[in-house]
Amino acid sequence: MPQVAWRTSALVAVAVFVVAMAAWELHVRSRGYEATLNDSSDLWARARSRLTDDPGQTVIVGSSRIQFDFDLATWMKVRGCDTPVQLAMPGSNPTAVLEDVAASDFRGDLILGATPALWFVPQGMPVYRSAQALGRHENWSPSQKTGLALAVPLQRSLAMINAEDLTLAGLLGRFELPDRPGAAANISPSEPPFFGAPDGDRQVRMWSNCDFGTPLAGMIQQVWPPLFTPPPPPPHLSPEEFQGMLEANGKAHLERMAAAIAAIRERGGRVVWVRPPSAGGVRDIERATAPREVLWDPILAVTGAPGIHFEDHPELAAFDCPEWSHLTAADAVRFTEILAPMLVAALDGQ
Amino acid sequence: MLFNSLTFVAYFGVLLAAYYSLRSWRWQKVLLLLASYAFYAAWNPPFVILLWISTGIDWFAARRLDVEDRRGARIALLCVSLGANLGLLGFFKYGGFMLENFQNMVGFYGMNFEAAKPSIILPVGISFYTFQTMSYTLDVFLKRAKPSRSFLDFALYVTFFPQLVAGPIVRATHFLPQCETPRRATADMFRWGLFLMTLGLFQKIVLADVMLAPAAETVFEWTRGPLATVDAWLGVLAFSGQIFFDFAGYSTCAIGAALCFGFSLPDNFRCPYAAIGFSDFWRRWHISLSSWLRDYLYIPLGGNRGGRIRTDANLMATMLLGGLWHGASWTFVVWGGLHGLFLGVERALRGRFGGAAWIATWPGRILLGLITYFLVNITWVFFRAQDFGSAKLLLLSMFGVITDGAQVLPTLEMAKVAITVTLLVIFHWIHRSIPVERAAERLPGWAHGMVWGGMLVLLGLAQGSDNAFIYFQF
Repeated sequence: MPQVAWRTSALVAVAVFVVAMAAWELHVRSRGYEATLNDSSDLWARARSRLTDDPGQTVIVGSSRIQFDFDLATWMKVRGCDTPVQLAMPGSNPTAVLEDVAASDFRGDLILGATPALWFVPQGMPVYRSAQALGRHENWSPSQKTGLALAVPLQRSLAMINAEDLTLAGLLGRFELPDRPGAAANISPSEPPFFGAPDGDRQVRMWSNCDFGTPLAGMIQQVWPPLFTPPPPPPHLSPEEFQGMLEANGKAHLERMAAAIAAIRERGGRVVWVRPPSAGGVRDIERATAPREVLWDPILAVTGAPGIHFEDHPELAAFDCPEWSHLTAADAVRFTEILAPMLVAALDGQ
Repeated sequence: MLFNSLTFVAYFGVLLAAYYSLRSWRWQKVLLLLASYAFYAAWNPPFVILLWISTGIDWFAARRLDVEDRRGARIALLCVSLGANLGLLGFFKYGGFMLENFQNMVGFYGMNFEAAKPSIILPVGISFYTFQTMSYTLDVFLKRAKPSRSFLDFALYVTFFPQLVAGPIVRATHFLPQCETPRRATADMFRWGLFLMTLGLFQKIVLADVMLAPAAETVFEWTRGPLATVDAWLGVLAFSGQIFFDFAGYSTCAIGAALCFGFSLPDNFRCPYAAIGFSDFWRRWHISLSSWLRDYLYIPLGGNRGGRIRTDANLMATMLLGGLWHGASWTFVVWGGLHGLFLGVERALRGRFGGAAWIATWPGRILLGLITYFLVNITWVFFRAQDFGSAKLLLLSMFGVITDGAQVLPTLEMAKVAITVTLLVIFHWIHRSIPVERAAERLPGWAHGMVWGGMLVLLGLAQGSDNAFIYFQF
């Protein structure tokens, strides 16, 4: 053991840590951050375990739009049911999650949130996110369960615990060093910063800093186009070959969705698709690269489940998104109030 | 349970409080044993049974070996121990690998054999605790050690949670004597233990996971063809740093955690990237494994007692098996084979040029050290690559044989790797001759505390992660 003035050393270390962390907490709170939960794989696994306990519940599968835009409390009020199991995941291809629900004993109401292009992403982060969450659910260890139980009170107390914005890796990422021109095509586009806070039921509410006209909303508007724009054909494939691959992939995904939904309906489950609103530049990209007749209409036709597209209902189409892709927390409540009777009709009609 | 998890922080705090509230040494050991089982069960409770099997068989075998004089019976007892431990290892770790190779082999002879792919979960740390218990029985068989008189002490030796899942691989002769008298950390020992745990977590979470892992993962998981030379090299250098910080971080945490309970564990790393030659490297990298392989494999095979060719063959066999110990894949075997080859070449060169004066000079030593580090990085390609095709493509990219490879690393990641790996190598060279402990003594207490506090702050900012340590999969 080295001969160090250990007592002094330990006291200084604790003082440095406490002062620096307290200062950091005050600083991030002064910038509008509040204590929120992290939407981690553990939180997802906890939600998924509720489905195992009670397979007759309302379950939501999809990506971030349905997580932001569908207000669970409003649905509970309308339906008089328990808290729905929110399994939507930001930036994910939910096909594998749908298949997991289909493979369970689930026989309740399933609301499928459609950001249509995401359901067809063949690989990369959207597929990885679903696989990671499912892997956590399948191998959720006692240690990880305890870790979540300990993390929740900490996350509810400290604003500086924010996995999207305030980690060391995230802070280092703020050094905007220009990438080499040749590297740009190979580097994944940036993900949006923190703009929505999940609660314990994984209901995400948009952060007030991201309201209409805020700098954060403007910044996120610039993040979406590279993420929503499909990649160009790789150099070793002709455009025709690439198109052929995309069509084959689309067909395969549609077949997977149809098989999963058929399995759920055979058990007595009821399924409905919802296409939440998008706006501005994101809507323009979607119209150009994922028009409804290419993705939405085939989804309904092949899976045979009813669907509610916001464009078909003027009262839903009237909603706007501050950062072009998600509703504010207040709008999510109003949106769900209007959507709920339509959902009930679609579900009860099955 | 991961050291880098909130669960461990709570577990460790509660366990320390309970341990120091007990007066009886026997009950303290019982507590540590039960807590170690809980530590292991926190991953997958049924696998605790494997620990019990390994513990029970080696306890029984060693006790019998001690009273048995008949050579045949002694060998049979040793075979029971080795068979049980290697059987567990073989089934859980190498079952799928052996089946796959069998299928390939019969396929080579034109037969068609398709077996269902086995779905076997690898129990965490099985390579470590099976080697640890085997060393105990081998020591008793070779009459280097007497068997433990206490089952409790022996079970604690096998199961002691700080080193259970990723080493250091502790010898019974190091641990069991510590169980004979009550262990109680002094206040300074306790602070030193906590400092080591902070240092280990800092290595793992900040340096391995935040600074180096993104670049290493991007490069090694790139599947769309060759890479630009600079990206390929930075990815490999990043992995060289990542695996060091990850594994040395675990060992440092383990040593620190044990110290808090008054136990000492052996060092596992001594600035390996300042090694001059491969024999020096293996005296500095994963010391507890390399000394295990030396004592229980290389020396029993004949060591260096049978002439040059026999020595080289022994070295190669030891390193090939050492490679296989790391994982059930031929890429690990090739990694071990390259180390065996470099060790053999080094022996040959030393015999021929060992007396040259320039080797003893600083520039000469640094040149040889850098050559060693360069070759170690080549071996890491096989260690980390998913398959030989990926390894080949990466090597061709590194040496500029393919010139139009993809640039895949963001500038920020390139900067993180360049800075971290450069500092790592410089740090190892500085502390090659001045141990870190002695350097720490030169700092006044407040400055030492600032360094410690700085690491805590960066850990707090990193917010931890649930990234498992790389060596858990071995």
